[in-house]
Amino acid sequence: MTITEADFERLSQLIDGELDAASQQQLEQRIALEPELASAWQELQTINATLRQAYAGATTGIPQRITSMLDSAVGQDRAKDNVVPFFRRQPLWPAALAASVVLALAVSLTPEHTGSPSPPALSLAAVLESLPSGDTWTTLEDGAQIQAVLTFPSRDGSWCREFALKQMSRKDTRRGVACRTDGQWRTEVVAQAPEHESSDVYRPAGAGDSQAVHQFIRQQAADIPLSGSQEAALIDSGWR
Amino acid sequence: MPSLNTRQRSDLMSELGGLRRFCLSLTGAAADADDLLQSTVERMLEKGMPEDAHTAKWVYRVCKNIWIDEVRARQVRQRHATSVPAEEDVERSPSAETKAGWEQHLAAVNEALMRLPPEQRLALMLVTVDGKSYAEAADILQVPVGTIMSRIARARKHLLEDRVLLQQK
Repeated sequence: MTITEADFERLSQLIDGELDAASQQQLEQRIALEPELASAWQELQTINATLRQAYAGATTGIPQRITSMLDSAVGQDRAKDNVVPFFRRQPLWPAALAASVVLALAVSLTPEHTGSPSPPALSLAAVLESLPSGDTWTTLEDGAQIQAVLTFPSRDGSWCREFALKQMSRKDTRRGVACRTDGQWRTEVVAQAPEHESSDVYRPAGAGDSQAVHQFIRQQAADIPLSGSQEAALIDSGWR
Repeated sequence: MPSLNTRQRSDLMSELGGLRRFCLSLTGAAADADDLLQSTVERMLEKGMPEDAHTAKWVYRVCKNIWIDEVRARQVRQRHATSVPAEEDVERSPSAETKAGWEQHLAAVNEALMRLPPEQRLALMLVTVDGKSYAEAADILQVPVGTIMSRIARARKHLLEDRVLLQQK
């Protein structure tokens, strides 16, 4: 190649759109006049096109094992503005859900079923009524901590919220969904989920009872979760 | 305790497509690209990032670091096994016929790119394949803009002299 280093750098900048207008015009005029520049310019364009083409298809088809890592991380304390559809949330709670208990019930959880104190209904309701979903844990009257995870419209027209509940005395986290009917928050489903959910392991079907929470959401959700701003507006309006 | 907040995770989620393309442009094979992508996401979740950092730039930087580490490790392994043919040669030649046309094309392009110094490849891929500006690439690779410009020009010069990419149409 007999073109100078400096000219080659300028050709390279030209192809990347990194030359100022004056230099660009000047270089284009030279390309039109100098066959060596023109030939290098041609070849540079070919290489550029080949590279782009080679990798163009890679932006889609991300393996589920990778998206689910983020899904499950997001699911642990669901994003305010995350609008990932429920359908992709399947591998949210992976394996190792030994001895977990599912309870589909109204607000009063009976201690003999769970072996642990039941969620204090009123405070839970107050949290669901007024706090946005997100990273923050709120301490309830009995020392348990709750986090609203996400809000979604249910098929029967009511609003439902998924929440996470941590008892100080226990290692596990419980997950649940409560729906708002006639101004009351009613717990529809609660299940235990391990505290440290390994995000890179698939949860086999039926491996854990938090499946029940998934199932409930899959069956009941009429749409994807609300964004943070939609949810804030809904809370402000007193759930319409 | 998750180390990324919800906004960062959701930003990261929206970067995955571009990031996977970047991974493929660095590794040249779909399976390796997904491994690199997975390692990147794992490290992001594990280490987190500062609240005020730009998620896209940060994650590209993490990805670049993992890839560079891997490239260096491979170079060391190869230096210590000089009598054995390079692992790429062993892997690629016998299976070339069985690969799909697209994969063969990818492998040929990758072979040409493997002859570039890693720093040049990084700069070229960020700008050419990912459409980053020189300034963005400089930010990700943490070098001056002028360095990006000259690395890309040198990479292109190598590729022109190599001729391989000119026949891969």
